[in-house]
Amino acid sequence: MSEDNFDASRRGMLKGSSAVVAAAFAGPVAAFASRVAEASQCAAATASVLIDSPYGVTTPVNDLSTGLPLIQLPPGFSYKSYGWRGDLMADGQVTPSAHDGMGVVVSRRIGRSSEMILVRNHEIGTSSNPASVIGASLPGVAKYDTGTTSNVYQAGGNTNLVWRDGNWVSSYTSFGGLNRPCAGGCTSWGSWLSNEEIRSNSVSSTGKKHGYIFEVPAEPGLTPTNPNPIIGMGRMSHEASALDLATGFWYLTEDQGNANTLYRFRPGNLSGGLNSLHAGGTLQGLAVTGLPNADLRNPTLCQEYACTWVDIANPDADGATLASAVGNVSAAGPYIQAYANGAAIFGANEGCWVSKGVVYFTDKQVTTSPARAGRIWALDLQTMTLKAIFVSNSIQVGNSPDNIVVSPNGGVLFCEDGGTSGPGNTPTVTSQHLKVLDSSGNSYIFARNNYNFTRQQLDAVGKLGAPSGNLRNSEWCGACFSPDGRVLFVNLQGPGITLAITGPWSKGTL
Amino acid sequence: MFIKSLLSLVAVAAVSAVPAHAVTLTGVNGASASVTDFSAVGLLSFDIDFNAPGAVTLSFNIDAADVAGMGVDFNAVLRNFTGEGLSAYTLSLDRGSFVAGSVVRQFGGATQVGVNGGNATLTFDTPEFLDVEVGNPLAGSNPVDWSIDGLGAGTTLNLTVTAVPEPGTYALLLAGLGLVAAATRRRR
Repeated sequence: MSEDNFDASRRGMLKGSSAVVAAAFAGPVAAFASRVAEASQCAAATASVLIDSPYGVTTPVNDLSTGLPLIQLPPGFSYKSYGWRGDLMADGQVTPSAHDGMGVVVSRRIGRSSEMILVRNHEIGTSSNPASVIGASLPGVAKYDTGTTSNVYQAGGNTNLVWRDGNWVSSYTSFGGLNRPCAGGCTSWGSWLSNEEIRSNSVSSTGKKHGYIFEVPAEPGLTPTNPNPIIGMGRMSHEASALDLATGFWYLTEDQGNANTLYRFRPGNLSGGLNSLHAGGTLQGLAVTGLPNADLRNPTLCQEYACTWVDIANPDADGATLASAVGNVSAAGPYIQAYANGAAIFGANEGCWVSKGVVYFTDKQVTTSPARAGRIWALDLQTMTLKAIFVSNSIQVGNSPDNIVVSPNGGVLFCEDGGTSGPGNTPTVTSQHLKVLDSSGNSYIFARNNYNFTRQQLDAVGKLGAPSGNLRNSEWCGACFSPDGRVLFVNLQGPGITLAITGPWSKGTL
Repeated sequence: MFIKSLLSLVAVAAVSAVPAHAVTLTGVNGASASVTDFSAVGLLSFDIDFNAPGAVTLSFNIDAADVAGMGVDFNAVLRNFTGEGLSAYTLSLDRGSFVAGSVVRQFGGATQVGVNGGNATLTFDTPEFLDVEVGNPLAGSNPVDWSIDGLGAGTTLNLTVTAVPEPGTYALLLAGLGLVAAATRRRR
């Protein structure tokens, strides 16, 4: 089926759940929509620069839940933390560590209450302790793989969180048996795609391979989790997945150094709904028209490329070493096939978001020579024009942009996952930031990680399982907005904390 | 236009849903807002989703059964979708007087409640960006409903709720209106 004959009824079904969400918030969402186009504008230059924030200078702000100054925010913003690593959850389990990708999968009114359900990834790899597998002691929690690979268990998985009437309510285990579920993406039918970030040809003791995408429903107690992978979306070092509501197609990123491109998955079943993606589809990779295997790691700001899609015959093929135009690289099976058909070369793609017919995705690769500290691309799905809308050649400007989100107001926010070394490392980088992309292709700081506490400080507020010390350079991840744009949910991975932030969004572009 | 239609629909739905003898919403006028009525016998209850700062006036018919007790109970959820921080809500009756109960800011923060007969002001210590519960609209274990005393059977009660933005927002609004006026004058 081509994009053109995607019929209206199917489109309506895909949008069904979103329409329910929007009905409650029609006014604000409609009012905010126009700014999305601005994000794909930019002023041509060699690279982006850091500018002053319209929200103002950040200062430490005390968490309304614990009283600790976990982060720095601009004036007027406040936040509540929840679901700390080590906190006891509603199902009696301890909250796992390594919070990562996250999304709001349900937003609804229950009576007069406003409720949201979020699904959160825990990017845990392997463990020699079977009890460490997420949900190990809960038979009712679905798990993909309870076997061992090279004598270790796959210990990653998911937890779900409930937010109601401006407050965190509960969290619980929702899926286990995964290897490094890093990012993912929301469906429009009340579920989350949990993506394994692992390129491996290994087979576990239960006969399972890893590097797949899985679907986690909002309420596994009502709609059981399908433990089987969505093979059609490929086996690779997955990062994010983003749904284009207009077509039902998915856009996927892969974090495989110098051996990845943007992918498109065209589901065979375009009606949507739980398990619909398991029915298979067509996986494709992005290529620059007339320029096979274009190296897109070093664009200038606003540089554009005409693009097309190339087919990948076997999404489940094993990976191997690929002799590519940029040297010998470790590549996943899908990329090897895409490369053979001319797919482009990116550094290390990460975050992905679709808004108003534009796919936004980040390349987080940081190198000193040549100087590069992250790129953000915008692919216009109608014209198939790819534009570098953010080019950071300094870690002060953008330090390894990871997860990305377009707010309902049309602003583009990204999570930094960098370190202290890289181009532009003077003055020394002391914290990771949430940064915002402005309409000219420059960035400004919205928030800073401020986590630096002693064991005594943490114990005093009941956070016995939280790590002590200076974790200000730990990554931000999982940024997502409530559908009404009033609350930003985001994770601090190192400490293992989920935050809900609100404030005067209208003072800036978010 | 959309908001007006929505408001009308809500009002009609409310009228058809209530029992024969109950507080009855008969009209909504004013700011860009959507109103959902939850009134019942002896209870005046509604949710307002404000899409812009300003005032919205709700009209209710009060039945004999509603005032059989001490007064009419009152609760509401006031949701802020304006995109601005609100410094206060004011509530104003054209008859009767308020007896204050609880005010809960869902995300947190303190509220100074001032009541003077049929006028009440909820002033926030920090700008409010999310939702506020007046009384006990969500049937919690601690909040207490307000009441409205001094109402007679068969009367129409008008209640005006105003979402008051931060002072800086008014200044920006006035500056914007000034620019529009200046541009209009130039065109003439």
